[in-house]
Amino acid sequence: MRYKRLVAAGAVVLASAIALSGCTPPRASEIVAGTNITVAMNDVFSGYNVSLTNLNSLYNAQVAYMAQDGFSYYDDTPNLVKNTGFGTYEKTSDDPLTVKYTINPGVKWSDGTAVDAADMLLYWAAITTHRTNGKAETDEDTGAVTSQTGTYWNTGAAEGTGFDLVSAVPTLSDDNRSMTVVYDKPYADWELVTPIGVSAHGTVQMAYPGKYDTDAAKAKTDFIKAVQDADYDFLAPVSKSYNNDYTFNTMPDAAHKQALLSNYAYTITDMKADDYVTLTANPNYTWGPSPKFETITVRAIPDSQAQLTALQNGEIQIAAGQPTPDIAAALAAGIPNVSYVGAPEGSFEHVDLQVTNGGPFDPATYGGDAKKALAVRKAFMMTIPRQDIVDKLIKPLQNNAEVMNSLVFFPGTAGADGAAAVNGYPDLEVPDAAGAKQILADAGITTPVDVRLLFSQTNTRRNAEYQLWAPIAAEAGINLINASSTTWSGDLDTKQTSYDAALFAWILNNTGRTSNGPNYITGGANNFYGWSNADVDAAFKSVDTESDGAKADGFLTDAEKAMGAQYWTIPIFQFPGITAWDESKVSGVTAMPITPQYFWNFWEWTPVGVTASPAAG
Amino acid sequence: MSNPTSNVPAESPSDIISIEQREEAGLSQGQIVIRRFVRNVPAMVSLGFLLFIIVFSFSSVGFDVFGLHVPGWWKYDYIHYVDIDRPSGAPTYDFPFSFGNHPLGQDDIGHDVFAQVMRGAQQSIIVMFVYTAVAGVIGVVIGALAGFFRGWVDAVLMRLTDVIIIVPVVILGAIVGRAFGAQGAFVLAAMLGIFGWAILARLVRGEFFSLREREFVDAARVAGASNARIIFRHILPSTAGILIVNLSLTMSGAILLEAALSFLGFGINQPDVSLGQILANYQTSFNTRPWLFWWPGAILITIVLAVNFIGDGLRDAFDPRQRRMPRKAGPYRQLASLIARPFRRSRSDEEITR
Amino acid sequence: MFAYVIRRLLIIVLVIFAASFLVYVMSAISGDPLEDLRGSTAPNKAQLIAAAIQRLHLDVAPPLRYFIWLGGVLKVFVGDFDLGQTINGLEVTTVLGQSMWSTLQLVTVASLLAITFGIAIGMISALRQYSGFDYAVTLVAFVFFALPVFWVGQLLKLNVAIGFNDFLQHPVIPTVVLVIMSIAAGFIWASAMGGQLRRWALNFAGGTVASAAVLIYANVSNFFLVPNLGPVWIGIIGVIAALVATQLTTGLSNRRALGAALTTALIGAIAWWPVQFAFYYFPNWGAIIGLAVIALLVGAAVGWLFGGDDRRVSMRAAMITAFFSAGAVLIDRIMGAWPDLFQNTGGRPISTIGSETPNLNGSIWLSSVDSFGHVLLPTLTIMLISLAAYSRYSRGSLLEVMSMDYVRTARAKGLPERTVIMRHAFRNALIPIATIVAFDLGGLIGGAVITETVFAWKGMGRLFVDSLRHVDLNPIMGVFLVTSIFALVFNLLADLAYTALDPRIRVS
Repeated sequence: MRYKRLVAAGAVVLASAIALSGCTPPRASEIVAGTNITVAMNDVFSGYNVSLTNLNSLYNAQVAYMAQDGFSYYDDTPNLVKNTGFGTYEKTSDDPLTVKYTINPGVKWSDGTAVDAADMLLYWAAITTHRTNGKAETDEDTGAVTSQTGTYWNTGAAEGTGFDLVSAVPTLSDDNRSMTVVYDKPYADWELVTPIGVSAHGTVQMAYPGKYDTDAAKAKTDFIKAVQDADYDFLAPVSKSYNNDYTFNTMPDAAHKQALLSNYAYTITDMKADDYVTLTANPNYTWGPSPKFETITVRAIPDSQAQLTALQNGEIQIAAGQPTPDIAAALAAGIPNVSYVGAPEGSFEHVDLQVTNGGPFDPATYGGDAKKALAVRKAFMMTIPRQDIVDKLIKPLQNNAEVMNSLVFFPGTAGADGAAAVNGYPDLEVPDAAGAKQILADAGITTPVDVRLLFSQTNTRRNAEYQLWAPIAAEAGINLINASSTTWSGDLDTKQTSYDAALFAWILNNTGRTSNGPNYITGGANNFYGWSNADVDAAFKSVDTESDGAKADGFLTDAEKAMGAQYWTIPIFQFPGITAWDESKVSGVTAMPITPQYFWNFWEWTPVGVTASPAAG
Repeated sequence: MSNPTSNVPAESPSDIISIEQREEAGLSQGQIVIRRFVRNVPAMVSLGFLLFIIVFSFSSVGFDVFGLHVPGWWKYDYIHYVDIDRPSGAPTYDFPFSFGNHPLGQDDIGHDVFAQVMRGAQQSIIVMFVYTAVAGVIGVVIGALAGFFRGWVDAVLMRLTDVIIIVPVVILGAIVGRAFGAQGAFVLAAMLGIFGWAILARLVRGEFFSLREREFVDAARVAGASNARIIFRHILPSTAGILIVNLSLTMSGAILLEAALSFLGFGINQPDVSLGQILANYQTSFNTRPWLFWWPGAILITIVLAVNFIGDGLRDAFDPRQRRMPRKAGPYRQLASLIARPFRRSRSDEEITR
Repeated sequence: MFAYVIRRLLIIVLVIFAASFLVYVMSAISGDPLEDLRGSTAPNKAQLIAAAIQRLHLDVAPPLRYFIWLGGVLKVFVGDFDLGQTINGLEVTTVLGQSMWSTLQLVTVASLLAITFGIAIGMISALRQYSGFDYAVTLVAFVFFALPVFWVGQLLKLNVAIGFNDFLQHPVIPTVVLVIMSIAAGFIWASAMGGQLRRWALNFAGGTVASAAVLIYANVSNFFLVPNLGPVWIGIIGVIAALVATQLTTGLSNRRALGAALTTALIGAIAWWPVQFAFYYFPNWGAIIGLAVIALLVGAAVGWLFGGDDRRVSMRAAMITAFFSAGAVLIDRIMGAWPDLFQNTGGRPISTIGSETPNLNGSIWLSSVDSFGHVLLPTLTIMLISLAAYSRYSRGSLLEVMSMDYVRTARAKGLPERTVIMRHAFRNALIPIATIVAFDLGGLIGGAVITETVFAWKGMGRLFVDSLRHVDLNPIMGVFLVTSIFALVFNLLADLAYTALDPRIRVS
């Protein structure tokens, strides 16, 4: 059977090689003709423009990752890697912060048009508020952004934050391959900005049907001019197209085929709503590592058990997701041809304490005695069986799981170790009920102390965590009350008097430094707990405006230290994840914790069992 | 009925009458029903089993009533966990009489599976009875009124029924479950029951539609019976067959609905447990931790089976035109005759298939 | 009658309004649509939340928000049907249009099969009340009925799909299994047919030998890799259909009807050859429907020619035969695409996820057989459970009817038992079943919700569950609209069936 298929595959390779040789000049493609792979993601694809607020999902990003190139990507550490095949960026000045982006010559969209500064300018216009004069006048009945007035980009741009700090029109080089942006003030995460997304000429062509169909160059020049001159009459239809034409889950019609333009290794060639997206190797792509599979089909399968069964049944070749104990056990017991690797996911579980709700952690409860409140917080945290939770609940799912000891640094990065050395969390891995009791007694607190713990009522794992925790708290004289709720997420910031501590997870999908501040600074958007500390605020403020990475990390470590001393919040573990693949069909699969997860090195996925003679194309 | 071992219908009406007169002469309707039911072996076995499960599940892990906790005789409860005895929580039962601490095993963090299954059985039984009581009462009353009075009463009630009935049960159930799943089995079941009567109402109405045209209703009316009396004393008993089969299906349906909702994540919430919830949580365990898969499944399936057999037995017992009663035969004889049946066909049987 | 239908339709519209209000308000209060957003750490979280509130009108109280939604729906009258958007900003009409068909396909196929087999099994077991067959059917039906749908689905998926695909790697039934299967088949057949010892033994032997022959043929002809029927098996199927149809409609003693049916079966076998050309040149649904129509016409004509005194009876038998013969020809053609599918799926044609193999661009035959590979397990899952319920209902119903006075009268008249059953009892027994079948469609859709989750189908059920989890009201309402209209139409049909079946019920 296998022999026959090998022969057949070999014949296909040979035949296509003969057929194609002489058509196009040979290039260093390692695509093996006729190979295809089907891989799973956990939810459906809903659109191609991942900058839009309504399309900003992990799953769209996973598909787009293989068709939209950028200046950098994350490896599996995750560390940011410069993608020099596509282009380069460099900081040319610290004050004002100035960054120059250059796209390499020969980088093309799948229709042959060059990828250049026009595309980067579109990113700037869309992601900032500086080329917006309209509003998302949502149609009363549909709720869609269709009847917007003027120029409006549905990217959720917020004034004065992130890339919006670039208020002056970026300058373009003469050859149109470079763009230079000048920030109004220093910005720590400037390296995470990768100003390229969907194509400018394609968007303009769709915005003006018929007008630019055969002249992409004119579309680019007109667009650049409109952006530079703030010509909102011209830009309004473009923004409308940007907002609407990239939202699709079936193949776009002929009038919108430009919505599929790719400037990377694969091009979307087929899809079925809510089911799969098929990408085929982009013949124009020559500027980076060559993928090996000719087509990749990405299927949406939400249930991890269903993914595993499909993997076993040969319907998919890569599966990934949060495992159940049974999936982990089945994999550990061994499934023929299936390899797997456990790797944490981006979300992390943690406990937050309310300090201004009149509860046990609020100084006001003790007549304004901040020391007493601090002692209660410390004692409380000493009762959390963090190591036990990881051992009992997480390790069965991912055997290399560890207790998480830094809030703002991604585990495994150098910053995380530095922070753990100063924030005191490693001392709280194993609970110390007697010590906690002593601290409460020393502070003169009458026990038992009632603490209402808010968590998701329907979450099995959090219920188990509560059950592991409550008896130890009781030993220390703390009555841990189950205040779980089905509406916990809303209660977090609307019913602050209904709970004293909250157990939930933050989602961490990039290594941005500035995204941490709002969780912890005074009055921060995600600070529902009344936390306020001058040192913490100052440290995060310094982070925001520090464009030197190492220095910014230093400020973050300071912030962690200050927070650790306050006993406000403590991380417990990262969500466990498992990536499994069919080793009889594919090799080179590696897990990665954040977006785009295991897709990060799709070009290294290599077909197994097929003679890997590169097709001369 | 010359052949005493024959189970097939008698050949002439006079035979039937004589048999029924002989065995049931002088008995009231209720006595006849009970007598017939008691002789139905599968139904009686099922009834015994169901009662046993009820008593066993409530007594073993105890229960709460009006805020008062009645303790059970089992050493663990369903909320608290203990250290895991054997690797991955395998059962500690060893053949033949060594039960150990956790005869049915433990889950991931050390909950006792026996305690969980018993608590789950309690919850499923509560769901079953509460749901059926609520749905049954509403359904029978609405169906009877609509079918009997017809006209505008029927129109209004049936439109109301339509409103409920057009929403597929799982859809309504999921919405109700999402809203009330957190409030325990009793509230959840009652709320589900409020939306679960529609099919029953239409069936009852359909029966009333036919029956009220029948002669015995005219007779009762001529005899001066009130509407209420006609509805509840004359027509309703005649619908008993279809009603009881349906109520038994409703009861088992209630358990299965709760299980389905649990599977979708809209059933009884943690930390409380129901059989469906355990089953849904561990539906993929049967290769790795079979004790988490088979025990709740076996209990759930046997409860549902028992309910159905009881319903079936009641149907046979209630049927006023029942031509013969199930033979009074012990299980072994039944089994034997079941195996031997093909060799003991009577002539009349062949007539049907000829 | 016409006025009745119109009035019912008007009422249906009002009922749907009331029910949709109920569903809308209940789902709205069941949770918080912004739950996901609140847990996000996006820097522009406040804007995202504000945008979602504006887009989904979350600042309006649910009962009033319902009317905003209703406004969109009512625009259907001005040709601008609008069901709003999902939380992710996709049009519900689009999303629904994509997911609707796979669900309706699943539900329709499963319910047709469940109704046919359920009623047949139930009625046979009623006719053999208290026989071994009856007990066995009762027990099996109860067991199936007691199984949670998701549990059955999971078992089928893990065992049948993977097991059968593994089997296909070496597609020969082992001798032991073959013997056991044949004996089991013979036993079932003999029990269902009933009769005294001699007859039972004959049936048992016949059933066993026939099953064994079929299985051995499958092994020898490599059926599981290159399945086909060919004219011979089409002929055999036709003859069986002819015998059964004649037996059920008039009895084998009606030589004219039997002759007509057998002739039709013969024509079916011969027609296999020319039809292959038709399929080759017109590989589309038109050809298939054409084939069905022609087959029925041929059956009618043959029946007419053989007819004699009672033409209608002969025509009926011949048309039933023609239907099955034509079906066999069609199945034969679809089977022809199996090796293709085998190749395309890497030798694992039975699937555990989705409703089609991605990127399978082939003929109508290939896509049909691919659908089969995907539909098989979900359909089985839903069907087994509905089938159990139907068999119970129809058994009870027929037993009820069989004890009625008019059946007794018919028997007393000296009518043959077949006439009594088919003409008097069967028809009346169908009345309550008609109602139940209509209701049960709702249940089947519910089953589909769960089955789709198990088998990762992208149907309405999946859409509903996901939407409810995120309290995404517009798609919930879209699913509700489709399913409720579907269910109501079937209820209306059931009401009409009532009047057709029971003349005592007056429709006004």
